Amino acid sequence: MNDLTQPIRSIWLSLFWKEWHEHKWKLVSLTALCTLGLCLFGLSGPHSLQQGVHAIAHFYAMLAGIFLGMSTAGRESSRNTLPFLQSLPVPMWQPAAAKLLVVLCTATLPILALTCIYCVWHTFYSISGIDLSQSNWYGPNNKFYNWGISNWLVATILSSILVASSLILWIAAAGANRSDEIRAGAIGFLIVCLIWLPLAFGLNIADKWDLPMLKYWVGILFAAAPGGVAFVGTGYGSQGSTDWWQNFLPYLESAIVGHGCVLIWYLRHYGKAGPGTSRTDGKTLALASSGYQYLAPPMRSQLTAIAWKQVRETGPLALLAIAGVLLLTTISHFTNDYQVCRHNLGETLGGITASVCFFVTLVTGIGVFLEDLKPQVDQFWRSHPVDYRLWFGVKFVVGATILAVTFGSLMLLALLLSDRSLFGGDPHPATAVGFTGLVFLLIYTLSMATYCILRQPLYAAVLTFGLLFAGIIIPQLICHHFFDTTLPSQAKLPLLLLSQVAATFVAWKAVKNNWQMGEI
Amino acid sequence: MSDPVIEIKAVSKSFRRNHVLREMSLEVERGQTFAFLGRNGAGKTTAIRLLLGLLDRDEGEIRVLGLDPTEQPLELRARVGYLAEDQTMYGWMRCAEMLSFIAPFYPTWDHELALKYAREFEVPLQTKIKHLSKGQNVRLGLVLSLAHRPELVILDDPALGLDPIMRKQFNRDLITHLQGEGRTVFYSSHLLYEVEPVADQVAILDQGQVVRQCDTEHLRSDVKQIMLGRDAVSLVDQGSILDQRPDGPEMAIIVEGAEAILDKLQREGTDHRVVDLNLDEIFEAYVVGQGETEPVASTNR
Repeated sequence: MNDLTQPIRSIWLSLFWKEWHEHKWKLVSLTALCTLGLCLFGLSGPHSLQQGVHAIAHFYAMLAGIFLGMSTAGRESSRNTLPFLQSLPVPMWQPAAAKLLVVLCTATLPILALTCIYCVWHTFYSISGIDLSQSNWYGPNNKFYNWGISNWLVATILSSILVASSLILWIAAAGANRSDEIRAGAIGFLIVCLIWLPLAFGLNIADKWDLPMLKYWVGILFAAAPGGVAFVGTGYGSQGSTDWWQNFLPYLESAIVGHGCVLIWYLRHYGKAGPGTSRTDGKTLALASSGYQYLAPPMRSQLTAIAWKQVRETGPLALLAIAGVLLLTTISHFTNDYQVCRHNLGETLGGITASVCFFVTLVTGIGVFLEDLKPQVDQFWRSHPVDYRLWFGVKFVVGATILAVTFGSLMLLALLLSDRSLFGGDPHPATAVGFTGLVFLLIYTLSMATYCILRQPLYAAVLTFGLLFAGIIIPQLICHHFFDTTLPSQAKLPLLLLSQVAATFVAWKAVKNNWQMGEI
Repeated sequence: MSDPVIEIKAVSKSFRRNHVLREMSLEVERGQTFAFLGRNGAGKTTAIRLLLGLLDRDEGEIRVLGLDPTEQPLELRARVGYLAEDQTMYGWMRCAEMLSFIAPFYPTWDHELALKYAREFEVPLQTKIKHLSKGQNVRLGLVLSLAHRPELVILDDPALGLDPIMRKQFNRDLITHLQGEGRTVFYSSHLLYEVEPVADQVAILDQGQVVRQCDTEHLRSDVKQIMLGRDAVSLVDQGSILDQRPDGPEMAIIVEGAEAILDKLQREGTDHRVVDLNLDEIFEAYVVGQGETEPVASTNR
């Protein structure tokens, strides 16, 4: 396909060719990430493999769903290629459909690759006389025990694919036409939370007041919600009754109808003039004639100016994160079986804050230089007398501070609600808090560094995950294989600090060296 | 006495195997409006990026306002106003916010002047940049590049994308305004008819080399088209011929150093006719002509 001496014969082939070229390296990098993860589990021993497949497939589904969804929604706008796409003499639903299909394949193939690798590994161990079904994880206490290993594998793979596909579709639809991937992802994430919230309330009310019909209908609606289809399938799959299919069918219908509607919405709206794409309109003209009278005084210093800019760029994401955490906490609090009380609310808030903090830290790190390093904007700020060291330093510090304040406040609230039991088991809670803070700082710096090097949000996210996987597991393996011991706790802090310094240095060098200028 | 604002001596720049500039040399005097002409891809933007210290040169020497752009980029940029072709700014900022944001980076920033320019250029200050039209975007870029009273203004094809009327207004009003203030203007473009009325000096860049630099008026009088018999072409120094093509029984040749050649033809008694050329035709002869030309140094020829 690379040698285009002949024109491509059809519109669809042409569109698929374009999307394939834009996604092939994403596919490779996501497959490599899954494979690396599984290999690292495998190195811990053959019995960890199954646990590895389960963990990686589900974690990957969430990761791929969010990041491929935001990439689908915002990449063309971010690269300023949407006007070109719009100018093609085809209805916009065709490029949108081609993009979505290729993205779904990109999300699915790494999971299938994971399955293949597992099967090969499983066969190898079977030949070697090691029975993986005797693993602790795959034991009678596991809810998948009765399924048999083949069915378990199919269910795991299928549910991962469904979760990833559902999230991609929802986030792509919700974030379509946003100006970049980060905004698309943020809006998509918020909408997903807003959909889950009433459903969670519904389930809670149905449980509390014992309303089976309400529970049934909320369950049906849940199948249509982002990622809900997989959970419904899992729940009914373990029943093993003869009318399983009869029970399952309404959920399947709901999932198909719900996702079908979202698909139609996406196809109808993708590439249409959306927020931020309109040019001079009536409002602008009115402002043009009346709004140029007032000019605020200049900012006092370069530091203030850069800090103000960073607050404006990261602030909305932080506010969105707070809203997301509070929504998810509410959902989780009301859908769990435990007693509704202040202590449990605090525990839930703490857990969700930590999980959301991970994703938001990653996205914020990528977003710090997202706009600055776009080719034309890169030239704009560099052509002014801006000291890149100040630019880098202030942006880095302000971004990290916003994250620390945001999640610090949420964690403090969680601590207060749970009566300080979040770190209750730790003999040195202050040290634990400090260490956790450093871990998140490293995630932030690492994602910033990978974006500054690669200048592609999705690749940056994948590389960050890969580096985190490797950084967590490889030192453990080295200690295990060469010294027959676990990584001593005293070594963790120096390793963390060393990684922090290295990541900061790489990010700084990547901002300093404006490679984009080399492209003519 | 020579007071060059820009001095470029034998500068080369490559991107991997792509040689964009090859021993390029030129000089711009203070107070001049200098037209830097070249086809798309000739290396104009790369040369400008070198002038601002946005790229490092491979070889040669550059001084802008007496500073080395690689060694003192910030000092230099504080004294230069630059407007890039198709400049993209932060879309989420309002125009007023952008002006307040940029101000502290320039020690000589004049906020009153910024407001004055914004009013003159009708920049809608309370509108977000992403909602500006092409023309408004260019005008905001101009305010940003002029409000600190720069000694040197570098305009990289700034009127690209504007409609013809706006382009004319831009060239007539803005350049005249800058000339009136005595600023040095380095204007890069590939549309000669636009710069012809305002440029004091012209440099033509072709394939990474300056093939001609001189006063606009001198260029017009030095480069002529001569119609003469085919046998008489041999009387003309081949190095002076920029372009030649048959025209019926005659040959139409475009030459530089026309005065000397015409003297010689007169002395030899050869029949010929002289046709005056506009800058467009002269430029075309230099960059797509079928004669042979050598790159020039930064001297007027």
